[in-house]
Amino acid sequence: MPEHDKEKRPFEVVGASVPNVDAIDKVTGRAKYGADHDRKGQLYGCVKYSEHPHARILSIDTAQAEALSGVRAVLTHKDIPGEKSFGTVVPHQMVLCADKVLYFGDAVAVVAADTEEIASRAVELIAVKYEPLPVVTDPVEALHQDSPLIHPGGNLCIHHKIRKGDIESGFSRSSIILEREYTTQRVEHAYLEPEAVLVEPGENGGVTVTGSVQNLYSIRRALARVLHLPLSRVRIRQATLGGSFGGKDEVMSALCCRAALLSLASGRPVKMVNTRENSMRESYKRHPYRMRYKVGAGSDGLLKAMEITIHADAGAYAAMSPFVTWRSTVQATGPYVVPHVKTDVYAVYTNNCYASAMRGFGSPQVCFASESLMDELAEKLGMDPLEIRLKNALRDGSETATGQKLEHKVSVEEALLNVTQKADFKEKRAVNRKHNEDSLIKRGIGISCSYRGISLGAEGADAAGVVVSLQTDGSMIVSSGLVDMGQGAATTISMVVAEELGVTIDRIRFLNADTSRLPDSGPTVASRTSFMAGNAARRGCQEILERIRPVAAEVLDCPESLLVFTDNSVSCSSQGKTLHFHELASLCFERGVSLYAHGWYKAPDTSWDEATGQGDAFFTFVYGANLAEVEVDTLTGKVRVVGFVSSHDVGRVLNLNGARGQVFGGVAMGLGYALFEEYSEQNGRPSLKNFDEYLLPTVFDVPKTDIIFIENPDRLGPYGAKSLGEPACEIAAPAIVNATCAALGERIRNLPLTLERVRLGRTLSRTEKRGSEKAQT
Amino acid sequence: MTARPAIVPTTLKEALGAIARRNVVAVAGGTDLMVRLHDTSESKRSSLLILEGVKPLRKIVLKGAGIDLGPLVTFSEIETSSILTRFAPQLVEAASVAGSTQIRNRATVGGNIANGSPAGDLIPPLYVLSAKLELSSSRGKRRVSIEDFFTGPGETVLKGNELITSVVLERSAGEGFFLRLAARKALAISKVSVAANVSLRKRRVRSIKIALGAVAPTVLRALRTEEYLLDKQLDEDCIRSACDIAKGEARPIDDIRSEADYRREMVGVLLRRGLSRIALSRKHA
Amino acid sequence: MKLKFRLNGKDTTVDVAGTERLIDLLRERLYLVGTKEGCGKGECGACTVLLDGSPVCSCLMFSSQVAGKEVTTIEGLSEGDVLHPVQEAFTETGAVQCGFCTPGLVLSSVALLKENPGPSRDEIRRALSGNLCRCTGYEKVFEAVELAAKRMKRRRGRRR
Repeated sequence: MPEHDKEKRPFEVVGASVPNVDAIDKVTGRAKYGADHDRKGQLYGCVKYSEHPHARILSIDTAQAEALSGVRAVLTHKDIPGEKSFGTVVPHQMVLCADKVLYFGDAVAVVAADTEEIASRAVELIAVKYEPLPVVTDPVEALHQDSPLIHPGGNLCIHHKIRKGDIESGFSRSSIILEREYTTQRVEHAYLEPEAVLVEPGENGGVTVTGSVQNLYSIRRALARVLHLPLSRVRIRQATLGGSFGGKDEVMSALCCRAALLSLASGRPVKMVNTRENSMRESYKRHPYRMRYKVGAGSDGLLKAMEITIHADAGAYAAMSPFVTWRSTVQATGPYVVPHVKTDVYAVYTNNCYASAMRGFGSPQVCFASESLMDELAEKLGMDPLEIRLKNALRDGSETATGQKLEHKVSVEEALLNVTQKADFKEKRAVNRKHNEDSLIKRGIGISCSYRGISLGAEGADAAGVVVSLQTDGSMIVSSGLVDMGQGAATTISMVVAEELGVTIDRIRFLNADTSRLPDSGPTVASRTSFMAGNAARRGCQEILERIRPVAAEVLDCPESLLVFTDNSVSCSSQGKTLHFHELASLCFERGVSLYAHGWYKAPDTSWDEATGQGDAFFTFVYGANLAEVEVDTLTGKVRVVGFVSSHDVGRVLNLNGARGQVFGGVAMGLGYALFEEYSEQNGRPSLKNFDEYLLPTVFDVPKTDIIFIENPDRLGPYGAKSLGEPACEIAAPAIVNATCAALGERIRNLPLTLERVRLGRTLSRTEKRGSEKAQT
Repeated sequence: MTARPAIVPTTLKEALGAIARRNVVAVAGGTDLMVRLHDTSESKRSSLLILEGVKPLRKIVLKGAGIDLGPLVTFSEIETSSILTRFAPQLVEAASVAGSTQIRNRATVGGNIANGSPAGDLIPPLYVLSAKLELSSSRGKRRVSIEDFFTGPGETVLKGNELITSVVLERSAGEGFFLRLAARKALAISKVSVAANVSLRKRRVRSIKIALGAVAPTVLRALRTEEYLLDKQLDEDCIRSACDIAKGEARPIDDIRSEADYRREMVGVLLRRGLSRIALSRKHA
Repeated sequence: MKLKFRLNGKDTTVDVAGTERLIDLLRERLYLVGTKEGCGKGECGACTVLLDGSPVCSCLMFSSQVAGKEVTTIEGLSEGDVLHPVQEAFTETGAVQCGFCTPGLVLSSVALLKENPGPSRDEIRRALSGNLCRCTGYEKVFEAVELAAKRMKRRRGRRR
């Protein structure tokens, strides 16, 4: 059946609300996460972390550790058979440090022992001598001539730019020019499941890894490189993942490499499970950004020019910084038409915890800046925040900051109107103004909007596959190199298969990813899974249909075009004859017809000119708007989010439960970003260690949230679907901040909005504990 | 896995005998202790005295004009106690907002006191309810007023061979409150807390006790504020002045949780809210 | 010491030191890995089990503290293939995403509904105040608890 026919029919499964396919396993405790796996004879691994944020390693003495009873292996960089470092963009991230330690979470040695306790004790017995080096903590200062170097090539990790139009001419034509600086803080993914891995030596000389992995193939590449093994002998199996949000990539490569080294050295399986403290110490964070914006506009509010300079603190290693900051470069202006743009984004090395992918991937920071800036501009011009956005919003056929013409339905305006109408934006603003005149609890309402390119864009090759394997009893096995980390990919892909083949979801089993069975489908990032795996799944199903249709047609004595696949059976629409799906499957098998297909989908190419920052950066975009209502206790500084509206153009909703879940979860994460969370470091040393001090939103903090999905089907997406996971998160914080500033009547330009910052206008000047360890705690 | 030895008595006598030995650490609910063990590498050689099974340590009874609490009474038990709801509402309020459901089901009043944190939520109410602690050892007992019990952050006069065996409170004087400010509504240690115990006669303050938490090395009584308020009518001017005095009595510091300036301001905000609430309720009474 | 307690409805005796953590006893000795460790400090609630019907953090308890008491883990909730109404409701409303916090949330919800069969949204929040979730934003969890409450009420009505 030609592809486009499907688009015209109403969907049987796609778009519905169904229970997650793995929900029962999770709700009964049957699902096995990384730390739930065990092997007979396993050892426990423990890491010796650096004691300094920047230091030369003078000596590592492992003698006492090795002598401890129950210790089976103690390894340093000297014991690495292959390369000592890995990294997708810049392969310089050290598995075990050799000459220097570059951040407080760097590893210097690892131990495998019979019990966790013995392994910890052995780690304490490893004596490392350091020569401390000056600690670099500020990305702007790190670029100065005389700054200490973190990596030999210099402290600049990457520089992206946009040069569009003529910036000076833009400003000269502006009747108003604003210059503002915004900063965002370092935050932690805080997935509930700490990193966990179990590595065992393979029978064939390789290794098998089972653990909490998000991007299996990047991890496999790192392992092959470090262990000096061919890719074919490194097997990575995904355990059920307890959340990731972009966070279980490089940190898992490091953990897997260490466990694998121990496993091969000892000949035994090695289990390594991070405590929350080690997870927070070692794992990468979201980049703190310092953003300087200069905007020029006409007195009518029309934007003429934007000059943007951003410094991103990449921390000790490059990891995904080059790509994170690239996305920021594309999105920094916000979803607006700006004829003249000059953008410079610098990712800079420091001795802080390294930063890499986290849900949003460089967008939450710039959305905070651009959306705050638009409100500030509106206020100066006497316009309201909706007015100025509608005036400048991208529309069908608009050109983006990278010079890309948007040739599809652009719904920035639709999203803005949805949220402002739902919440009576204009009326509320007026009511709040009156209320706030004589009230200590002030009310505010604020909006934000964004555009976001989906999938990898110019980051690299963008292709993915889904295996569809029909069994002779009519049940199906479906799997992909793309991973379900809780976002519902397993369910969404199963729904697509159910829709395509007319089977019920209970017949489908979606497997966790395994590199030995599936080709590299790229990383599970960029909210690309529904789009890429959805398309791949459709192709796989269509391949199978092409093979089984002739058999059904023959058996039912029915022309192929009249076959209807639905409800686990195939029937002929012209007469009553029906064949159960499992009967058809058996028959096909008996006739030697292949019931296995690997659907592969490659996304359209994109383009990018590094010198000018111009090009078709992404093959399609999504649009969204958020609205927040807050109450601010002006005496204590407490901000309560009392209402929220979220509207996103997702192309087509595939998995309704999953989609709503992404929005609720994304709003909560944005709320934490806006109000609570900060992973602060003093001179390269973290000021906090666990969830008692790193505060996540609880049940008390989340607002009632209305969701309005927009469906402008994309011509390339599966059933028109595009993307949601990250859009759902990236503009929640800006809406909350705009609402708070509206309530206060003053602007706050630094996140997070803690009680102290709202009340006093600044945040903790000192985060060390004074006096004794227990001083006033 | 080598674990510490456990001592599991079923009678108070056994427990007192055990705590008299060397290197024995008493465990009430265990919530604070377990966190301490998690955060530090305390000597694995000390034994843990598990008080769980010593039933006489868990009681809530009226005793004369006061209330006798066993040290093992949990926050949840305080929250749902009809005796305490009636006669010690400040304590009940503090118990109901601390921690989380799970923490309240295990954390105990004795543990909260022995832990000695100036941010411990039950302590300011215990101050204003004039709590007296019975400290027992195998050699006998002694009585210590709660205000004499703490000597610094996490430091108390409890000897190594002693257990807290009873917490005796006075009944609430008639009016009072417990208010706290934290970064979050649940699972967040207080930045500032204020408790008060007030009796009014014809809207004049006849007696008053105010305690401030998390703004000094130990919980402190706001004595000058109390002195000022005695015999006064709780009107807006009086409350404002009282708050200024209280802010001056606080000695807060900067730490991971908050700043000194902010804490000092909040002492005034919380005290004002609490006293205004009392004044308002009396106006309509 | 011999620890005697009731685990998921069965009388259980285990040789223990008495000072190992309850979560380690459950996961490492008794192979009940449904109870999860998220932080080790009682801040996230992923390790929640029911002690005599009340939710507690098993990472903050010593094994000897459960002597003579009843412990319920997530594995003890369903009867064979028959899910507890709370489990059922969680799966239907989409309250399960990555699922790591789910066992703790389910048990806290079960305890709430036993004590308060018709809780308000605020009462639900209070009961779940010690369970962190990073995926769901909690909204669907509230829906699940409300759905379970409604169904359990109906079933009680039918039984009369």
